[in-house]
Amino acid sequence: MQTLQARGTFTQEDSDYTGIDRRLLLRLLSYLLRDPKSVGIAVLAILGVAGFGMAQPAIIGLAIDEGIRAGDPEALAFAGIGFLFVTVGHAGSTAVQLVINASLGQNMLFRMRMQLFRKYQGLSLGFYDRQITGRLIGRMASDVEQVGEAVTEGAIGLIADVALLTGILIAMTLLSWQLTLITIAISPLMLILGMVFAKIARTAHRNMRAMRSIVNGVIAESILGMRVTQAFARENVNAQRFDTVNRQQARATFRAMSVSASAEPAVELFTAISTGLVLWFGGSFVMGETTGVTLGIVTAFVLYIERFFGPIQELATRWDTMQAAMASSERVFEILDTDETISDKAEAIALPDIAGNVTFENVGFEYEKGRPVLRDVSINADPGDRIALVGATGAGKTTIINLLLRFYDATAGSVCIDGHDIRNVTQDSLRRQVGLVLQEPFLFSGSLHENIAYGRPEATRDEVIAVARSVQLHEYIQDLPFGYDTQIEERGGSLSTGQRQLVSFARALLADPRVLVLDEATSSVDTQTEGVIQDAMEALMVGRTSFVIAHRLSTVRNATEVLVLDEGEIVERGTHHVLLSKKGLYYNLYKLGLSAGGENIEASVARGASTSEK
Amino acid sequence: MDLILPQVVARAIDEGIVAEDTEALRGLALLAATLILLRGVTLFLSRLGTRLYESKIERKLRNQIYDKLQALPFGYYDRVDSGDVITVAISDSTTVKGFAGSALMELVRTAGIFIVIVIGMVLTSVQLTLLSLIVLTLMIAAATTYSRIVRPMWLAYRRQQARVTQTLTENLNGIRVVKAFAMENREIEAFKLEAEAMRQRAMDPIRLRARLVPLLLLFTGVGTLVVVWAGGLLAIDGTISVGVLVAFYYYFTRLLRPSRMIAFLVQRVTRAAVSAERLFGLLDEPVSIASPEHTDHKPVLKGHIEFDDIEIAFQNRAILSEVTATIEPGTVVGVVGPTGSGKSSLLNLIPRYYDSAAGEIRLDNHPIQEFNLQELRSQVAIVPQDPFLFSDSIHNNIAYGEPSASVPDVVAATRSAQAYEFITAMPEGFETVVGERGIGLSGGQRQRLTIARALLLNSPILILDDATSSVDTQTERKIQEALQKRSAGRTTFIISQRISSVEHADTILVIDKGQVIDRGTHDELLTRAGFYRDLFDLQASRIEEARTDLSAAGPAGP
Ligand SMILES: Nc1ncnc2c1ncn2[C@@H]1O[C@H](COP(=O)(O)OP(=O)(O)OP(=O)(O)O)[C@@H](O)[C@H]1O
Ligand SMILES: Nc1ncnc2c1ncn2[C@@H]1O[C@H](COP(=O)(O)OP(=O)(O)OP(=O)(O)O)[C@@H](O)[C@H]1O
Ligand SMILES: [Mg+2]
Repeated sequence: MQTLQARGTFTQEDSDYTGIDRRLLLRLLSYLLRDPKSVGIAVLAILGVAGFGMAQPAIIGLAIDEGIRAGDPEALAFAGIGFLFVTVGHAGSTAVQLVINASLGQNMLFRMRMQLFRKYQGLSLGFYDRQITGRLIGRMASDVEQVGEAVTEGAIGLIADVALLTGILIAMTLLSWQLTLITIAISPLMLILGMVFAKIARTAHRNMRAMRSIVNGVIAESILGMRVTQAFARENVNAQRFDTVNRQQARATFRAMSVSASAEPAVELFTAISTGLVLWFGGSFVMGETTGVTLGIVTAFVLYIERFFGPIQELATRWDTMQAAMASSERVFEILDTDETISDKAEAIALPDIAGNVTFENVGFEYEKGRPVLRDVSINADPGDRIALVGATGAGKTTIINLLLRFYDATAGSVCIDGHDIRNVTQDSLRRQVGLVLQEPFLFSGSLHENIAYGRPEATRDEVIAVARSVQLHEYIQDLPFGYDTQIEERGGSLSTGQRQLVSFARALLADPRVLVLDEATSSVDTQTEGVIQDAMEALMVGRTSFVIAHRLSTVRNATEVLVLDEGEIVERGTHHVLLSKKGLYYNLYKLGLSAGGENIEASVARGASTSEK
Repeated sequence: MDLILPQVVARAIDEGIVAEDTEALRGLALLAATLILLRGVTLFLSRLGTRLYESKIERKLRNQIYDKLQALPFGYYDRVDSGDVITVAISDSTTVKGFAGSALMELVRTAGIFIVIVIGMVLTSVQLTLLSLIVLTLMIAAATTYSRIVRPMWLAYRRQQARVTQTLTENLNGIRVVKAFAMENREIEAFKLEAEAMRQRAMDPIRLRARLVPLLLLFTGVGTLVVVWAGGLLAIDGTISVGVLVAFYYYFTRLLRPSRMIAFLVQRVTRAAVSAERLFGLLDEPVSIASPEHTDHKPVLKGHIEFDDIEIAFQNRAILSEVTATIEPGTVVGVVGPTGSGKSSLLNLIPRYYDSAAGEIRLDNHPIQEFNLQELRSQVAIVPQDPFLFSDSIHNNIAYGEPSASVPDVVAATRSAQAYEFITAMPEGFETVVGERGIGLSGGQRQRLTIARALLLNSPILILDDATSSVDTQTERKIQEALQKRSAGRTTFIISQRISSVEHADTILVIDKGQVIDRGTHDELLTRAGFYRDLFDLQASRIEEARTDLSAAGPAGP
């Protein structure tokens, strides 16, 4: 992928989060708190797990002291029954905890996914100009998942661990405060070590994640562009480049993982030291018989220690998970917090049913600051008018359309429909009344019927057939084995380009808009079909306002008004004939277009005429 | 280590505490500490080894997947959802490596611990071991049953996950259409259904696990109970010592962790199996269009092409049949025909994007299947109908087929494609990064970049599939002139709807109703009634119209 270098420009988003930001954390937790009942149950379950888990060693200690050493089978039996109860409680609360945690997590994931998706729908096209789809998908696929995992495994686990640790500490203190002090004597050391460790881990993990997102991005983009890659026999070059990033990723992963790998042994070490200390001092205490420490208590302590450092180790892992979640959640929130740029005003009204009067008043526009694409464009179209936009490629024709549908907001002047400034009406009500056939047709996977009825899902089969007829698609579809129910693949891959244009044309017609916009709607359709469609359109468009962009000037002959664009400015306007008689840019364009299309044709016409006379 | 530690603790209790021997206690405590330290070190090393192995596997797997993806033919990509492929390549491969590395190692380790602990138990007390063995059997039975039931659940989850990704991918790709039709709310509803299903599918295995884990806990708990109770009674009798009992109990708690681990591992193994199934499904996908095993290196093509009774079919539906044609090197071939007649499909056969259903294509008299695919394709430059660009700089996009191309060559190609002017007018010129699929460029600008990309290759065969449909007539004409200069000696195919684009061709193939219905030069074709003549009349009458308009406007002004 050559694209790797270009990717440098996007790495900014990999700038991961360091540390745990309280605001971010609170925001994450707020997702959980929306489910207060479940959280309550989760806390109860956690307490249950901790409490029951803790009681087990104490009961064993009791059994040893009171039962075995004292030689009292009855006390032993008593302890046994107690133990049974505790075990059942432990198992039960663990089950509850598992299910509750998972459902909390899944609910949160669901909420986040929906929020993100809603946001994606709300963001303006300007946002999409700057984004790589693969990355936006990544936000949904991996970042959200990571956040969910962190909250269930991380946050809830953290609470559980802390509860368990507290419980164990209490239980230990109750048994023997001297031994407790000995046990936790090395904790500060462990804490310091843990913090140092976390710092190293953070950097390593950040690198790993950055590399992973690059690798995933390359994979996604490669898949989307695979046809071009194969067409240009670029496989070897791409494979090599992929291998390079892949290697880097493997290395980064290994580094991060080896840091994590040292966590568990470290905990084992501490467990060992503590066990040794407790045995040593505890043993002396038992022998000294001054502290009231019994053999049972020492046994219980050995068992507690086993449970004590486990959660502490988990703390390190959870810290790690939380950190990953912070980075991921930041990426998700970044999108959720993106300004929608184009959003409905609070006081926006629904655009009432329109007649179709469209005006542009001194409109100016730039995609990027400082590079004006449109300057001082004024248009007035009355209901039923057909406005043609002509001009060289890149003159700004599509841009005008983008403004009319409010994909972007004009940077100067205003666009009004039936006197309503389009910024004051809801986008939904605006776009429902303006139909658009795009330069590059996009189809969704689904049946042909669904695609044609995209803008009006409730349309009947007859309506769909009628509109397919008018764009000359009906015969073709009818011949397909499954007719209108034929499934088409992603992007309409199994249709020819012209057919895709026709489907997208039909789709706009079926929506029955008052204003119709055709952006080179038939550029890949054969002339005959195009002619038939044009005739059909004449009938269909009566009373509707339309905007037509076409490079074949013949298609603009019947326009009410032709607007000639040059570098973002309307330089001429008028009907076809008026413009020709002006002998300006349009005249030249037309003449050139004509000669480009027909120097030979002229000769052929003469010859053709003579042959047909024969 | 798991074997010795409890023994040491037992002896510390029996010989040290119970026997009140400080020396022995001290020694044993030290011994215990050293042992655990050693254990930590070995654990660390084994973890490190595992990770190394794991990252190697992941890298290999990814490379393998990537190679496979690049080898799969167009037909595969027609059939599958890209979201699904992306999920397999990204998520499933990670899951599998997790299995191959840690999970497998953990499994071995856990099994090892299990065995060691059981040995330790037997050594400590045979009676107690027999008692606890019942519990162990139950545990293993529970875990295996679980894995059997949970497998389809994971598969369902993965599938649903892919569906969610797919829904999103498609939505984002078509976001302009979604917005143009104000369909955001319906899209949200559709997505909600999928997301909701995903939530459900995620909960299924967890609910099952919530049954397994407590069961395992219960088993160990009951085991402990049995051990302590029965053992306690034995100890009271004096049959075994307290130390032995504690050691035994210690063993049992050590069993607790592996038993939790088993549940966890079984889950991971099952998940990995599901992912592996999907992954191997991809890796085993037959590559229907591949280079032959042995290719003798073919010299640079001259551009002689023969179609011999070709038939094209998609899903057994014939699109085009009985195509026979011989094309001499250096000729320009026009291809015209109505929408959907099979023009693109026919020319897609030359670089072998698809294979014909019947018949043979020969290049320079060799059947096309004999060529190495990459060699073949690098000699066939194509401007596809759908102008796809990568999000990368303009320079890199144009040099896509020849990354080492020199700057003057790139500039020359853009000049021929009439793209030079608008590129240099951009603030960053050739280094301007165009958005995904070329967002930020107008339709015509995008097409011209794809033309430049193809021209740069200087290949003996050039295919222009409706390459100038979005370009204005004036610019189109300039491109044609440049092409004529550049294309001397190379075989060129031009698909177009405009007579003006093909009229200069040496021969024109007219495709309609599933066949090549006519062929010949422009002039020859005009002598016969038929599609071409109709097309011509239609376009000529428009031109005639235009001419009248022009002359009505009077002679050219100043
Ligand atoms: N999303 C965008 N971001 C930045 N610049 C853009 C964007 N879209 C278009 N442009 C630039 O704005 C100018 C006008 O583009 P527009 O698409 O309106 O041209 P057009 O007249 O429709 O051309 P064509 O006939 O080739 O479709 C071009 O120079 C183009 O590069
Ligand atoms: N991958 C595919 N799977 C199934 N059917 C296909 C596939 N590609 C094309 N078709 C069908 O084959 C026929 C010929 O398609 P093709 O793209 O070759 O047409 P075309 O002549 O290039 O049309 P256009 O001028 O519109 O580009 C069409 O009916 C189309 O629906
Ligand atoms: Mg085609």
